[in-house]
Amino acid sequence: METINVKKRKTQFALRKLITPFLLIIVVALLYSIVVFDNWLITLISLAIGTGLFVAYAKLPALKTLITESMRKDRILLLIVGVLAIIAVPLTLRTQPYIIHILIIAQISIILALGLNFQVGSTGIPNLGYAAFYGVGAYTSALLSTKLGVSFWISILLAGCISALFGWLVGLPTLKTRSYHMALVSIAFGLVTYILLNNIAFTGGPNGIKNVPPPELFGKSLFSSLRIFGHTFPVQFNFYYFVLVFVLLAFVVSRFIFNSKVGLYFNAVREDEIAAKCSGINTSTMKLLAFSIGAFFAGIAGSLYAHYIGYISPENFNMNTSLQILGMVIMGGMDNIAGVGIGAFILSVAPEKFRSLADFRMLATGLIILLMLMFRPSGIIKQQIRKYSSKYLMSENSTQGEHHG
Amino acid sequence: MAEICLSANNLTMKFGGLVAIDNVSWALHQNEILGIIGPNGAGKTTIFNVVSGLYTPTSGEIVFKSNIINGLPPYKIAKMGIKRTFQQSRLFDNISVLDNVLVGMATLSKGTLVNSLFRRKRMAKELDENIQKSLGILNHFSPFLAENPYRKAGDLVPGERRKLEICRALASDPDVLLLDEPAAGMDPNESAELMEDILKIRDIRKGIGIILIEHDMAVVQKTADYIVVISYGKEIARGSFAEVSSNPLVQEAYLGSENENA
Amino acid sequence: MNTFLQLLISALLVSSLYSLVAVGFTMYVGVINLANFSHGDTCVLGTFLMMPLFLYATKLGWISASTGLVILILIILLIFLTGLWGAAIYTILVKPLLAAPRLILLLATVAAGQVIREAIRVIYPNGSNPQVFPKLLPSGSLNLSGITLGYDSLTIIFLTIICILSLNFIIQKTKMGVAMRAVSQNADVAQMMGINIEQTIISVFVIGSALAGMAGILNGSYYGITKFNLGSNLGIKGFSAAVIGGLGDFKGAIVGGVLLGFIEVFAAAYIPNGSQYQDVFSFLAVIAFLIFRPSGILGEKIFEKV
Ligand SMILES: Nc1ncnc2c1ncn2[C@@H]1O[C@H](COP(=O)(O)OP(=O)(O)O)[C@@H](O)[C@H]1O
Ligand SMILES: [Mg+2]
Repeated sequence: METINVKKRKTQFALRKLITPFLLIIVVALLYSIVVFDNWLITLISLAIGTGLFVAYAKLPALKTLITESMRKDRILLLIVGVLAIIAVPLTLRTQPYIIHILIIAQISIILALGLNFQVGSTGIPNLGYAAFYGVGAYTSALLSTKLGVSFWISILLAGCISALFGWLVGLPTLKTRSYHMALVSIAFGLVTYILLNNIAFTGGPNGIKNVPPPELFGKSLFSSLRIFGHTFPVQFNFYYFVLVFVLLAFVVSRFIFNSKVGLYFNAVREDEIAAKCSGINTSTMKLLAFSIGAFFAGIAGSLYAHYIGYISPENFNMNTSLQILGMVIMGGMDNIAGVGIGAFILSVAPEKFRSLADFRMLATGLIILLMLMFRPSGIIKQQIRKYSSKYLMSENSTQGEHHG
Repeated sequence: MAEICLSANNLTMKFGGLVAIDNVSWALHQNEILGIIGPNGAGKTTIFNVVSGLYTPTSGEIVFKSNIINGLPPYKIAKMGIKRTFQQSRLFDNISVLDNVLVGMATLSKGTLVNSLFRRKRMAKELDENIQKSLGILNHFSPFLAENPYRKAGDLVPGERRKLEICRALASDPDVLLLDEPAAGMDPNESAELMEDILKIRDIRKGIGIILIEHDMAVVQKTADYIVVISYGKEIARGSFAEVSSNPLVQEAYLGSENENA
Repeated sequence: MNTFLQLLISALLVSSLYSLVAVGFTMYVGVINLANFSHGDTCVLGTFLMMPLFLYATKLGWISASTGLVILILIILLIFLTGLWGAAIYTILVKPLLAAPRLILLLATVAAGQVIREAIRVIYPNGSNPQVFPKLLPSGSLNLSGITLGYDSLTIIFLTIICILSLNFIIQKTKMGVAMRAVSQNADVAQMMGINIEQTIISVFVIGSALAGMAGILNGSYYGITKFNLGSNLGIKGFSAAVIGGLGDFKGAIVGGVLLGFIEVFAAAYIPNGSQYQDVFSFLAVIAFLIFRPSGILGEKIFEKV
């Protein structure tokens, strides 16, 4: 009797150890087939499998605890594999620069979505003209470098700052009003920016700005192809790692703000503005801050886009773009940084695979936002309860309180 | 006699044509629990809304530590040391119990926003102290809350919600605590327990002044040192519980409202 | 002087359209404090429902026979359809989300607008391009000592006034109107008074959307053109008008619509290059109102209940 039990336990233990590697294989396989195969049917099937697995995970509590626990145990392994995968992916795509290009656009989208998340997710302020801040950043950077010959590094910094300034200005008129006023002002700002960009000669009107120079790193243009061990790598290869640094920074900063008091006060404003005020929080400052930080991220992303693509026009920054980014935040999970990253990744990569269905892209975005809001408003990953590592708090497990409701 | 910490002088608040508070005056002393009672719609909550800065009074003044504070924004008034709870609880539902209390400490931090982003060490220490303090306060009102600091506030039962709101308000060691019907919806036992906890606050927090709004006269009986009764925005009686409860005007006001409710 | 009068008529025309859109907006805010960002797209949906109806009627040979009457019937049918659409939007989208945080509901209406727009674009043949909209309004014009008054403009202004007067009658005189006002003021009290809240809200959606459909087809037949994405602009203008007039206030929406219409038309005429920037001027007006008078022209200062 005893021995059987021990044996059983041993096999169970061994099986449990296999869960994480098994998961990893599935996820990597799915991601690989979504990203690398340029075939919409494969992408569709992979997405369907992914969704199915996710639904199973969300609906079956036993599976959920099993997976979360083994993932927690093996988080070092996960981290290592994740980092390796992110670094190694372009190496395997040497002959497919277009796929690296898609990944770069996904990276830029992640920065954008993380920025919008400060407003819509953390602070609960609707921003329906977010693409305009992206545009302000892109145009600032492009104008500075094409008209004044300013270097990339100064351009990108100014792009972020000027965009942040606009964020602050747009936030101002609505501090004392309601959230729908904010929605109105942000849409109006988006439209006004679009109209102005189209009509001002200085910004090139509808033709936009061409020949934005690529960034320079150590005196070398990022547009010069690398040669390693006799292999030539496409220029996208350089950009991938270049933008990756910004993505990592964006994640670090987001995480940092989320865990700081500012992040907590953002949440207080979102949850109940009146109670937040009466608790001593200057809610106006918080809203302006959320707006400025989010716009700063958008400005940085805009500058990266301009210098990567080399050509920008008002069409890149219209209402549709705003809704795309909003969709990423809502789908991924408002106020969940990892979730927002995932949402941005999916919603920027998947459409590229369905190019033959490009006509339906905006319809699909609208439907995704609508269905998510109606049936899973928390997004793919729910917002998390902040955990503190204080000696005064009892060990995590006893107070976790993962309860059913 | 202890010092006056908060007073209202000839306070009037009109909403359009409706006079919600009509020329009301009162004074709150240190270590005192002042009861403001009156039937539904008498204007009690409006008094708190005016004191906490949500509305600017139409006329009259509110004096806190010899400063006139009417017209100041709510967050400044909170920073000066006046904290409140709400009749219909207003917790931050999607964050944890502990985070709710930590928000209540927003006024404590000496650090600016910049500090909170860049001076990590000092902030970590401050956070640690704040957590310890939060747990202490939670434990005073409800051991359950102290044991479940990571529970979402939105998942609490009504009784615990009220207690958490009091904890959030008390977290920054305010000089004045405004409690708006804290026992509403509780059964007599729970309510008596809560009143005892409130009495205990006064012993622990030396010098605090508390205003307790109640609809139910029996609840304030043991708790309030001094009572102001208002009806339709006007003061109709003041004094000890025995004094006001025997006042015919008060009885009439309450009887009238009972009849209306029936 | 003549150009001035001419502009006045144009301004009145634009004002009419904006007012019709604004009324719906303001009513939604009034009864459930919701800004319905799919409202503008309902206008455009109206035009795209009208076109096949008109086509069908033409095919049957009805149009040439007794045009005026048929068009009137078509318009009534369309108002009915968009009203139904309003009820559907409420039942399918708004009602299930009433308990959710307001931000979720607001974003859901934004997404619904997007879905309407894009569905029109992909479903309607050649939907990405502007569509010729049938001339429903009488053509020709009246010439009064140098001023041309198009019969179409006059009809639009006239129809708008009829709509507004009948709505005013409904709100002031009927039981439904009393219920709407009661719910606007205090839903809890209204419920205690025995008012059927749900029915009231639905009727508001029906009326609001029907007016939006009306605005859409008037807009379409005046300019002779419609396009899937005209709704975002029209909706925002309507909302702006409602904000300027004072949200929640029916008369305010009309005042706001008129003000916005005049600002746009006169700015376009008297400011150099103004026509390119007319939207910019109206948004500047809204922002000025939000800063200096957030409760709008007619709105009273609201003390948010705590
Ligand atoms: N924000 C407001 N706008 C308009 N009227 C209000 C507002 N707040 C309260 N009132 C009115 O003021 C009166 C007093 O309300 P309140 O202070 O809440 O009463 P109490 O708390 O004593 O029950 C009531 O008639 C109420 O309807
Ligand atoms: Mg009250």
